[in-house]
Amino acid sequence: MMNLRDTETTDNAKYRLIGRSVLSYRFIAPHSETLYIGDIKKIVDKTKGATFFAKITDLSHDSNFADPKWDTRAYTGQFYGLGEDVFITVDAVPLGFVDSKGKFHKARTIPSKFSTVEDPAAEDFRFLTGQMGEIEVGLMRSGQDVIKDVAVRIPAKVLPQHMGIFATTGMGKSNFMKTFCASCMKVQKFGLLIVDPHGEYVSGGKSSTGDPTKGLVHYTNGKDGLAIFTIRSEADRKKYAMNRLWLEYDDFRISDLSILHDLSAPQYDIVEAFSRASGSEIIRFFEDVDPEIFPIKDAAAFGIKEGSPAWLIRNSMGGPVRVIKRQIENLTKGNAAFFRQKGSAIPEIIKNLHENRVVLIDIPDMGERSELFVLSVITRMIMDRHRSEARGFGIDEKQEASHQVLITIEEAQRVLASGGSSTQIFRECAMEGRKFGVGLCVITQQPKNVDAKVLAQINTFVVMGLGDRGDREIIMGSAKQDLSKMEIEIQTLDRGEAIISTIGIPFPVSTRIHRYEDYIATLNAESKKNIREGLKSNFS
Amino acid sequence: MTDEYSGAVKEAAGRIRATIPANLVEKFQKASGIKISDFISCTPAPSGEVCAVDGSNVMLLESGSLALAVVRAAQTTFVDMERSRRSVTPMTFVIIGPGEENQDFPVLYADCFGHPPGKPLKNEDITRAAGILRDTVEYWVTETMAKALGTGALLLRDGPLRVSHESHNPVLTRIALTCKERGIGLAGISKRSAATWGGGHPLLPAVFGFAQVHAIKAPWWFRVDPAILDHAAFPQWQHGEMYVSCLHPRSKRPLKIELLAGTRNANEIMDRLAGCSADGRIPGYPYPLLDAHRTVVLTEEIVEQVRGDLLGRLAEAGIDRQTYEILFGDYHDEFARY
Repeated sequence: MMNLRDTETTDNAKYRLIGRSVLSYRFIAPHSETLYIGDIKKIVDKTKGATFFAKITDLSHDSNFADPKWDTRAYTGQFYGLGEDVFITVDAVPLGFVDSKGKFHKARTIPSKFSTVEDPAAEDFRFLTGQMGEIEVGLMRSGQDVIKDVAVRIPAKVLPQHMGIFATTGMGKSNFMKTFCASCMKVQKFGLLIVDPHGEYVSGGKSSTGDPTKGLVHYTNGKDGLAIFTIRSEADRKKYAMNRLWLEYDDFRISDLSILHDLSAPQYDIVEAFSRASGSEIIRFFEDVDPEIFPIKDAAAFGIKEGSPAWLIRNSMGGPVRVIKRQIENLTKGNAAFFRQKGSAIPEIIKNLHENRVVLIDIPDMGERSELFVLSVITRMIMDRHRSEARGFGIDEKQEASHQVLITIEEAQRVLASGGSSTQIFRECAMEGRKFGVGLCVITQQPKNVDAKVLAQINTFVVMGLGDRGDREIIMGSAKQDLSKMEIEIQTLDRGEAIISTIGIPFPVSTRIHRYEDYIATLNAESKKNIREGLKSNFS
Repeated sequence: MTDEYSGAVKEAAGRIRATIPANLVEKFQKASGIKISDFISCTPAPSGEVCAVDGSNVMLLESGSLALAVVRAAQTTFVDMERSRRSVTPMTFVIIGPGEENQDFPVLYADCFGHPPGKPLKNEDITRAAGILRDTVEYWVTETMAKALGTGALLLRDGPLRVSHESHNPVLTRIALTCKERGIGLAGISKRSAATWGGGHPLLPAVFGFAQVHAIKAPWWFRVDPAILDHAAFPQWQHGEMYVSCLHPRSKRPLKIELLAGTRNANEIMDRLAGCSADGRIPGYPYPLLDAHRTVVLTEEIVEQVRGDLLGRLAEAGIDRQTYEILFGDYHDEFARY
């Protein structure tokens, strides 16, 4: 008997893998489906017993019609039967796969043809939990949604290998940093230094969109992980248990001038001549010196002893000496709020960093030069300390720094641009800091203006939306994981969203950064450590 | 270009031109008495339930003594613009020849309708025989759907409401009866027509030309008076009345539509047909029929696969490549390589 078989009760041509290569997946979805760039899909390969993960990188309209112009023929807007033959072609980039034993691997194999494409659930990412680190910054994002229960945590151990935060204004950079700080305060795995010339980290202020924000002091449960050094009034300091910030003259090195000013060659010669002199000696000398005596033809006639500061620069012309004198005067006067002859808070700052606290240097209304001055002085002293600690290791001892410190540099292109030798200390930090447990947290809106050699040293990338194509290309070329297929996603990142690529997590993770205020509210609601914990409760 | 060749081309074109003279519309108007008021304007209406049936046949192998064809038919049903069901018959292999009468026709016919055909099928014209074998499954699908569709549905057939083989006449009669009883509108829609008037002038260009000359805005339909046509072969096998219709303002050509004799709601059927003929890809052609065609068509890829499967089975059955080449090999394939 003849029979009539129904076909396509369910259209199995959709949501099955039709990609052709290891690095590029493809499937089709109904034309009416709502999909987003960045959506993560799970590809279930029943033949191999593996689950592959892929991230959508591109969406395009497609059809089965032989006529390539079917949709531009202008006769009518009405089309029947679009269901099967008109569809969305989805391109995705593989993230890796979990084998039948639950072990994650990089995508070195290809899923079987026609493996089904599904939406992953939170438990599908259980394998990630073990690979995530400690510093929680947000939740994993899939397209427009977040995958609840999959927190994105940056591994603390990779942070001395430098971290870069790349975002244009208004993309949520400050919120990210405060959230990052809160997590650092919570877990206390390394010391984090932040110099804040705007006074917004302490108690908040207004975001770039004008919304009121909270500060680090509002994370009350984590206050043990925070040390603030400030120039604010005593009343303010008492209110939030802040320390007074002081730098002393001996903390200063004349090379710090080169970070603050563009020095000419003769001025640089003077800086070179005083490279071994102490800060107080230099400041005292330039306070007293009369630039008009330079150059000194006959040192003895002026009563200048060999080896004295004036003797060191005896051949300099009066002009450069006058400029350096003025610069040092400006430095001492302009930073008088925290720069004095004797008494420095830097040992205390380094101690707090070594106790794995977030150290906030709060210098509101002090300007860019003061910020760079403080930053360069502290950075240099941290590097010196860590270098000398490393030198102290015996030949057979493990050459691993005992202290880990991450130094934040905002608008890093100011001090890490290509070609500048004046910012030597930051370069040294970028190039060899990780040997001594010193990492840089490089924050910039213009990665293309940061030295490519510095970017190459960065192992953790936090990309938060870059409108400039040149900036995106630099980032994609520098990241340790392949971000090239995620360009559209980077371009379309919304405020508060980021792609985090780090060597600790197996693939670049799209992240919805926690809103700081919500995050600390959650952290503050967690039960505090019992103050009696660890204390003996009896007399035995 | 030689004079001889040029003359032959000119003559061929001239003979075609003679059937479609410059004053075709004028002549047609005079011969048929056609008036503007004979054209009825359509108002595209929701098409409701529409089922389209189509068939397909392909010659797989041909030798001097026999041919192997594959046939199948399909239906696709839409409710307004949504497809509700689509089904297809299995691919059926039929052998045409050797011998005068086709051996597979009675088997296939009985398989479809439960009894042998009234008249045997001759093998002499292989192409025609394959077409009639395909019609057999196509009529079976049409009859099946006539019984299955809801009252008020439209049942569209790709082709006329006229059988090409006597054995199909009772089948089409039954289909017509079922449709009438169940209130189903049956329409046979043809992309081409052999109908002529005035001693060989084609009907469709004449009607379409008249509409254009008189600026009659599509969609429209026109009922053809059989008296104006030249002749009708086997009028006893004809179950429909002929209409010419243009179902969309952007349609490039008219369709010949046949409705069952005595159909009173031609207007409503045409409105519904216009309602499902606005598909942007082929405006003026009822989309369910396009969908049925796409469902049933035996594409080159399908035929290649079937041919490959068949070759495998022939090899298993002990027919070696050389015997196969002798039987079914085509020197044209060899020629095509050079």
